[in-house]
Amino acid sequence: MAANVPASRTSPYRASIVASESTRSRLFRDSALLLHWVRAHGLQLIPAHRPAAEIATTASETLYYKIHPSGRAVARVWVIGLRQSLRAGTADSALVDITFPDGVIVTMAPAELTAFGGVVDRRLYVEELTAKSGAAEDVQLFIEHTTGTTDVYIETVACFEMPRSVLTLDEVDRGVDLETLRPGAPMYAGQEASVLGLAEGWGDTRVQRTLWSQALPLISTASESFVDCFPLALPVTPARRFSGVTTALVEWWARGLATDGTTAGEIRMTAGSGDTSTVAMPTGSASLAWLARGVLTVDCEDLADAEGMSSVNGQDALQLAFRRTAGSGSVRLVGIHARQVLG
Amino acid sequence: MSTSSNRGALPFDPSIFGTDEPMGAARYRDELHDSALHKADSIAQVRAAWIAPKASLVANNEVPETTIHAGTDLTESTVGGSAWFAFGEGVVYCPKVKADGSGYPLRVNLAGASSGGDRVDFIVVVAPRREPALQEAWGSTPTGTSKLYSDITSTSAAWLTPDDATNILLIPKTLIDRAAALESSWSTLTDIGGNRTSVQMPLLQVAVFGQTRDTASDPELHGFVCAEYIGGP
Repeated sequence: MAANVPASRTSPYRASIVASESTRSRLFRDSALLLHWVRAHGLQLIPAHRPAAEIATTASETLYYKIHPSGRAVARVWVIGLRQSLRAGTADSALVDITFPDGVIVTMAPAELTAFGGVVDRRLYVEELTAKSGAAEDVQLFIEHTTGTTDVYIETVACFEMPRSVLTLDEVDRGVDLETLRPGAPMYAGQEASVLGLAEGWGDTRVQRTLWSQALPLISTASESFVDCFPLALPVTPARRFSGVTTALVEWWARGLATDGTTAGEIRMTAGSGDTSTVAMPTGSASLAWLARGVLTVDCEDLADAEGMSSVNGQDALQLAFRRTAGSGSVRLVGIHARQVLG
Repeated sequence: MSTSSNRGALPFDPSIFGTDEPMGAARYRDELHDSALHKADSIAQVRAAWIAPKASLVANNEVPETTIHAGTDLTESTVGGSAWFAFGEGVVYCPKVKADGSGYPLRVNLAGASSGGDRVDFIVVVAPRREPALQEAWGSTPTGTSKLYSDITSTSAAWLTPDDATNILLIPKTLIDRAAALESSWSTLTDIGGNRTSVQMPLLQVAVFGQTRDTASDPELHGFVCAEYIGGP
């Protein structure tokens, strides 16, 4: 059996629940549909960003990402935007091969930049998954310039989970059998059924939000003082978890390496509201890798504000900085990932 | 707007709703029902998050493109008048749709500057993926679901304040309906190893355009964030 998923959310009417009075089963049904909607409409795994990677003829670029899936998706949608420089002639037209995480290679002929600015060709690719998993994954896109002499630019990359049309009545999807919530139905303790199934489904549903996931052009420093990676901090607004709280924990990872085995460094994330988190890039980090996880406190969304901003600090923002702490080489970064910690 | 009266979840143990447990309506309302509404409100997602790194740190000559056009790809003489030019940061996403058929509003942050100090303008436009967003933005008085940042003259990158002084961009039901009508159903599976079925995705695009009033200055896009937000009180 399966549980239907509505295309839009429901809003079970709170005022219809009155203490010491019977609660209409219609309300339970609406709540179950809302549960299905929340659990089946997927997460944005990689917010759209511009890697700004330029790929010359016969060259290639690998973009690295860390993702935290919902655990219920059966497919993901990748959005890749490419363009190529103004061609001198037809024979110069560039072709690229994009290798997606499932190993499928898609060939694409990016649109040409024209006198009107050109159009970025966006390719949507659906990656069907072989298993449902909520575990963090390290994934990569391999983009190779195979044909032509004009340069290719990666203008945008994003990835989101495709919505499910139905949920399964099991402990992973936690769809609820709507028949068990109809008027006159008895309340019992069946799995994925009745009010208990509804309560367990909501108890298992946690808000998850990727705040920042950006493949960077290779940035490097040999400075022994912290150097900000960006001219501006990036505005972030994690969700509020519990009523009354004003902050949320954000966990983050940086991907990088040192230019030799004796060079070490530190990467620091700073929130505009004041907290900082520093992770080490120890000696022996000469191979590209995701570094240890950092955690810091960030102001969360205030749903009493028209724009959701904190009444204390306004909208919070994150800034990344890095420095060398040992050796004579450089510290380099190619990726950043930050998301809201689940409670 | 927020649908949860507590504007936040209340921690609860699902087993209190078990067969042998007494369940009062008030307990259901205040713990399970309100928490459910808050979770549905908070499932809003960040759809774009990008900021250009400092060019001085970029190794291997991979200088990030922050200007509207890539260096020598266009001559300045082609950038002028009142024409809008698209930045490359097109966002395509599947919106969260509210009970009334409208999308969760977007909270937009745009960082920009004028390369030469002359007036430049920016506009953020939301449109169905299969419609040309440029149509929504073209002209001196853009209409539709857009947000204008006009008369920017600073040469330093900064997060800009839109002309209407709010970062919120509404996603009306008509936009969702247009997007849904233009998208054919997407093939997917009922479950891993399940039957093939289809699902509707009313895909929207968020596009950023710039224009300059003087060929000596290019509009520069330095960062862009766009996140769904259920809305305030």
